[in-house]
Amino acid sequence: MQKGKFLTFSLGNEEYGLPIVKVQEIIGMMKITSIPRTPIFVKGVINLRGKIIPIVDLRLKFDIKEKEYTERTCIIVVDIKQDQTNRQIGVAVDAVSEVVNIQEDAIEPPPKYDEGEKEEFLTGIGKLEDKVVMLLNTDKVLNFKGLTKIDVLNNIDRGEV
Amino acid sequence: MENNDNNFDIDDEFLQDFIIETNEHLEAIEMNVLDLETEANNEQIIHSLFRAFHTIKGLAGFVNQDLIQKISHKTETILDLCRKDSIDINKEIANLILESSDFIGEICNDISLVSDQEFSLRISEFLNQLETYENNIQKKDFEIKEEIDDNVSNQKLQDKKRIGEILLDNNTIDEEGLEYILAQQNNQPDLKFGQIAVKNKKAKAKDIINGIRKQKSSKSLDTNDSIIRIPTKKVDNLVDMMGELIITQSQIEQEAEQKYDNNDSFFTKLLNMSRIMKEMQGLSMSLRMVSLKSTFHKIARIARDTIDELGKDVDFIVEGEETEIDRNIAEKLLEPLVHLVKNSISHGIESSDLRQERGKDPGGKVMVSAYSNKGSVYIEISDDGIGIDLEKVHNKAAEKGLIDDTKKYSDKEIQEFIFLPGFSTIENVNTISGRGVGMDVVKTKISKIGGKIEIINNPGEGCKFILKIPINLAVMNGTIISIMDNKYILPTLNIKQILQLKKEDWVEVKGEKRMIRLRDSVIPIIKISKILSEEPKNEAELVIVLEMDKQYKALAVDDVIGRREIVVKPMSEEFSNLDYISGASILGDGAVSLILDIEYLFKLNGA
Repeated sequence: MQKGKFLTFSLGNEEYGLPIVKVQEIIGMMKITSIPRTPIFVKGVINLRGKIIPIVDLRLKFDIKEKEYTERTCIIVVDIKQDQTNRQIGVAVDAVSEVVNIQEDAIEPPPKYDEGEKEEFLTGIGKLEDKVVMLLNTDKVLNFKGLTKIDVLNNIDRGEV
Repeated sequence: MENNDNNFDIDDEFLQDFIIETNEHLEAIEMNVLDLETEANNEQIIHSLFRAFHTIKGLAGFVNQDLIQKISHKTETILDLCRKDSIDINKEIANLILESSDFIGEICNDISLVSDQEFSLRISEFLNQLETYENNIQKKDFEIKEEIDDNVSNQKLQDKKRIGEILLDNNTIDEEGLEYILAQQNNQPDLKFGQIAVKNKKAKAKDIINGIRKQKSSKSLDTNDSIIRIPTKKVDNLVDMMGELIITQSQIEQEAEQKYDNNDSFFTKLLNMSRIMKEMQGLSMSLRMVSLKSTFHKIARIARDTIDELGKDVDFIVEGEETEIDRNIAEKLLEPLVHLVKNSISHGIESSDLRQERGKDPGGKVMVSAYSNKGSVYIEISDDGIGIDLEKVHNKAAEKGLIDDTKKYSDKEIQEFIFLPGFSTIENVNTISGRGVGMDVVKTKISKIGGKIEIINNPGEGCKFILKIPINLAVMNGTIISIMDNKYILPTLNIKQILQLKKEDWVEVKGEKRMIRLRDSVIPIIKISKILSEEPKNEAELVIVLEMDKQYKALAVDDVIGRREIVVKPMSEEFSNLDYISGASILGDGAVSLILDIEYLFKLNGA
């Protein structure tokens, strides 16, 4: 539960936040090249000044109903750490709100769900004067590396006639 | 040793780097001194030597290696005097240089020597020697024309003995060593006999020099290549920027095509520019190329250690080390190669007894060979051991719940099980192949560098792993196609033909289009919907005939947009398991386009 500055954004009716230190930049929506056979919340990849980075749609990740992208839809480019390497992943969100400073005593531990997985996505709940912000654990939420392995077994299918 | 651990705690990593780099310099020093034997006044060589010691001195300063600093300083001073006053390197100086190099080498091999009393004494004596000699040079009190080589300028052919024979005569090397070096000469054509001997530790530099001095012949003068050391980061940046340049140029070409007439002089100039850029690209890529030599040397060492550790009778052979590959790829290749080799040695080769029972030679053979072909480098790791036991593999996979055990799998499929994550038939976890580091990691690492692994298994007789790796993640010529409004790229190399078909050309099976007729043959169709979850519109008459390894398959597309030079960008790790893509590229319109993997397309069954 680190205190500090968080970038908050909205998804549906909820407000979420991620540590500002992890935010590389915020860009407007751009053409996303979709990649077949990836989890549904992986929208595809974009060209960020010559670098190809994946885009995750958090709505789909959190099972919130998908919404059409508008001009307000943004991509937050986040630094994530995985297997000792640093990478960038873009997160598509409805709209970016503001940067807020949240003190330690204003952060509560994340609620416990039955499915252990969901619990890991949040590092805590930030209580601000006028709203509640769900603080995301970016390294866990945006990690989808293990998920494309589902196809490993499917590959064996290709031997089938 | 204890003291040193405390002292070098902080600098440990730096110290290791220092030792590695210094050893490199020492090797170069030895080579240069050997060259000097026949070209005592070659300024370039003297410069090289000076620079080498100068560098070592500097590096030693960073890691607080006082002794090495002192030694290199004194040696460098002498060399400096030689080059400034154009003094030939005589016998004595050459010997002193070698001694310096030896001392530094000794310290590098065992860093604790610096606190050893006896050693320090020897060093002090040596340093005094150097000092004395330095003073002598200053006072010009030495013999100028020392006889290094009586006939160095004597071009007349005399009755000369070959260096190999001389070394054999004075027992510097034995018959076996001689043969080994002669064999190595083929692989290292630009090194002299003596240098190869030293490099392969068959003889000491000192002895070679003595041998050369005995020799009464003149060697031909080699030209010294001047070398520049450049930080790899700079080269990487250069290569990246070249890539961006080519993309931008491609975009300009696209626009130009629309605005200008083909005959316009503007176009000709544009094409000229693109030709020059392609050359530049090739040159910048070549800056990053290294031979597999050092990678293979490291593997050879590890292989020999493993063989000794396990006490097995295995012959380890390496071939094709002069094959070149991008340096980044070479670095990443090491780990997977080591794993595969260790695997072959420990699990592939069976015991001598078992081997003899089977009528095989008691000693096993593990071979790593490399060669390049058509933009890819192939590395084969083969052994003549027991091969992969398919039944065992199948059962293990079923046991671990990794496969559907009610299904019947083909041999080829069962082979591939070893790449499944979580798979390992190694009962006792030992340090040989690493804990939990399975074949799946090897496969991932290989695909990260854009490569593939193929298994050729011969149960009972042996097994061969073939790694196919792109020489560099380069610019390639790609053909852009569209399927259902999405653009994809196919390597132009693999495109045999583009056809506009008529209804009669399709061959249907059970109401579905399965093949096409082409002249006298029938070519199967690639069912792209298996990958893309979409098919080109039914009316698709446009078909691309793809070729790979003399096989042909057809792919139906909606449109062929054009051919471009594209820069291949690897897909980020998250997508490393997607076999159907071999990378991505950024097209003229700025959007990312996926490059379809030809091998995968061919492996797909057209059902």
